Amino acid sequence: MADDVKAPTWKETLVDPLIANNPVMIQVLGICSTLAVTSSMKTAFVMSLSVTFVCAMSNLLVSSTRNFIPSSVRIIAQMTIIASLVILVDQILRAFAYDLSKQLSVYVGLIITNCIVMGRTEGFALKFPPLPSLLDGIGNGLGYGLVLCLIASVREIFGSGSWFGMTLFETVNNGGWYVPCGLLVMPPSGFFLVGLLIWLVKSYRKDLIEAPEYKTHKGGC
Amino acid sequence: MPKLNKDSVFGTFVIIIAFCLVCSVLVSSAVVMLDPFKAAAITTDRQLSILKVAGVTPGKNVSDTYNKYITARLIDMKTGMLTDDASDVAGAYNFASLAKQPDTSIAIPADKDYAGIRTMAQKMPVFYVKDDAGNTTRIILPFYGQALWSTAYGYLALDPDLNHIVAITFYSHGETPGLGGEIDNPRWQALWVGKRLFNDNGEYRFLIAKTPDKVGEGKDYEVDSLSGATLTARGVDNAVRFWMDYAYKAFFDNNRTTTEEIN
Repeated sequence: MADDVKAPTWKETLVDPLIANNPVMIQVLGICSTLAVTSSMKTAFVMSLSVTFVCAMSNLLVSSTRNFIPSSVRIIAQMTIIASLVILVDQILRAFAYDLSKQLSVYVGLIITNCIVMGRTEGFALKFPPLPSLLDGIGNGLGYGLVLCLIASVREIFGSGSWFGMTLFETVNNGGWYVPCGLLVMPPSGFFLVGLLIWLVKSYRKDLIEAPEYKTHKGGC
Repeated sequence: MPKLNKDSVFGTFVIIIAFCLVCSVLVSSAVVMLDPFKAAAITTDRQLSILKVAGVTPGKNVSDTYNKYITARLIDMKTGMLTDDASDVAGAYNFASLAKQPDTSIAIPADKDYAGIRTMAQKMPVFYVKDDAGNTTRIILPFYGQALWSTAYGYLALDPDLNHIVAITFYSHGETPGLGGEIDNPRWQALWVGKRLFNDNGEYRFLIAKTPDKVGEGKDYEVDSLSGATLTARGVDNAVRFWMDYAYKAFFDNNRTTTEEIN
């Protein structure tokens, strides 16, 4: 490895992915699962933990073996590691949190195709030593988890009147006063909320707005 | 030993094979080691659902409570007779997967297939709930059918008269939380309690209706549908109709006769 590649500091790897380089809000990766598992806090939380674990461990393993991975088949080598880790997580959930694994259904298995994991191993772990890679994996997993939990909080509180399954507003169906917002429990609402979140973050942090890649013609007809 | 060039064809093969071997050993050993835990989790989950419709509060050890109050048997669906299989075999009987195999399933005639499941297993479990004195207090029958997005699986607990509903639960479905997922709502499930499946002539009369009859003749048979979940409720209605009016018919007929003989 060339010595002139400067390894990023722990702050860049661990803290930046939370907001400034958030995998969901800024890199816009992993949107599929963001929509699918955020209707309740419990599933979103377990999904965040699973992705953080897979992301951290795959980064660590890919980085540890980066000097052995032949570059022509590096994607396959990364996929092998990621897939093994995901199967491991899926099996552990099935054995010790059967109820939750039923709710998450296919989405645990689909962590394999979550672009965040692949993006980090390919974009970071192949270039840098194990320790920064591990931190980078944890940071990105937490950044993903942060967005997931924010969206799930809004969706569960206003869509079902509860948070982590604890009732906050008694819904009409249960004899209370709160009429839940049906839209929020449907997957499209996750999309709207991601959009709103990106808007919010970028209007507060103007430096995160990318320069336009091309100009459009502003003229009339 | 000459240094292995990782980017040569030979090196690529060696390294990838090594990678795959290590990963497959890791994955397969994890799967094998976790197998007993997974099996236990599935069993506990099933026993909890059954205890729920049985109206029994599970104690510290779920399987102890289950074994104390629940006896499972298998029904031969062709004849409606109980088989000689033991309770643990019947309880663990995986009817959903056996229904998909040609030699253990029965094809359902299209005009009777209200539940949209095409085939059913040749045998189905039935769970007898006994009280402390050993008397049968409830009879639990599994049922399932196509709802809106998924197949919904549930248990229906009946009075020993095999007519009055005492409890219902769904143990697996993929309906939208908050809409079709409200079939899990205890308040809705409570509406089922005390309803009758059959009228005095033994004809199937149970119905999930948008505007249930609350005062007239229908009040004993009709359950209010779920608002915002018309198709899920219709699927549940069809599933119950298929199993109770068609699939378990022979079992119902046999056991009604037995009761009369005793009397």
